[in-house]
Amino acid sequence: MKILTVDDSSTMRRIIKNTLNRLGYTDVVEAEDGVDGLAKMAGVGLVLTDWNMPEMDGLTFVKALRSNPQYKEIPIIMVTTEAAKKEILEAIKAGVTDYIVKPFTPDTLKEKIERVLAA
Amino acid sequence: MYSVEYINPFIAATVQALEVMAGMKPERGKPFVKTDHVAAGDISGVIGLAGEAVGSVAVTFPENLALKVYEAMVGEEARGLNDDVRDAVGEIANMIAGGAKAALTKEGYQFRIAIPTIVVGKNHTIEHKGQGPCLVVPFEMDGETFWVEVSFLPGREA
Repeated sequence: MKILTVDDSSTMRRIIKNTLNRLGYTDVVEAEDGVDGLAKMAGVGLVLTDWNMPEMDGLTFVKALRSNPQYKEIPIIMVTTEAAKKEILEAIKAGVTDYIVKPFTPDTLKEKIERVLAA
Repeated sequence: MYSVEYINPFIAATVQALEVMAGMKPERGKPFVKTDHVAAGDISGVIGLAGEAVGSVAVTFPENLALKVYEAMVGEEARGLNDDVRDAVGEIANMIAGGAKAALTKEGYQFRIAIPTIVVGKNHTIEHKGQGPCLVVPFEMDGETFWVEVSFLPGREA
């Protein structure tokens, strides 16, 4: 499965990519923000996106995907430092499938990915 | 009035970020009030806080410790304070601000966190956004010291 990880932090993209590789997901595409992410959606089966990013933030990116019939059902996990209930509810309303708060362990990432892919 | 109530979420978020993402064990020292703008470390990640509460938070590391944190987080060797290490320090700052925001939001303080900026160099300066005092918390980790600076003033619109 092709997985897209969208984060303005190269460190976070690398951590997520290394974790995904260890879990057996080797087809991982990286994007720096929502604009870059939208341009790299071809063939993607799962999206992991940060919230706070320049150009296009994660919330806007999620709304853009959900407004496109092609990506209406694609699983999206938001991976962000935004941990307040208000923000989590806002992300769910925008259409995220699940939510991971940074900092996170590899086990958390694994559990969330397996859960959304099994649904 | 500056209360210790505001600093505790930043301390907890610092410990959590480094423990979870780097597997490191920071131990907090005694906080003190900073009277100038000079950072004690060689690289700092700074994040502005704006909204009903205003201010900024910075995490500042000596070069060697920043390299250790990067290597522990990513599992790859770091060569000097390059773009990768700068990005990692910014992400640590991001997690400190985000963790503190979540805790302070539960206490009724609403604010937004900005994209981190990175400052590098011996004796570099950090200009905090809040008009309140800057409280510095030293942490011991892996035989070295790093610092978290917090300038936080609740109740003012940015």
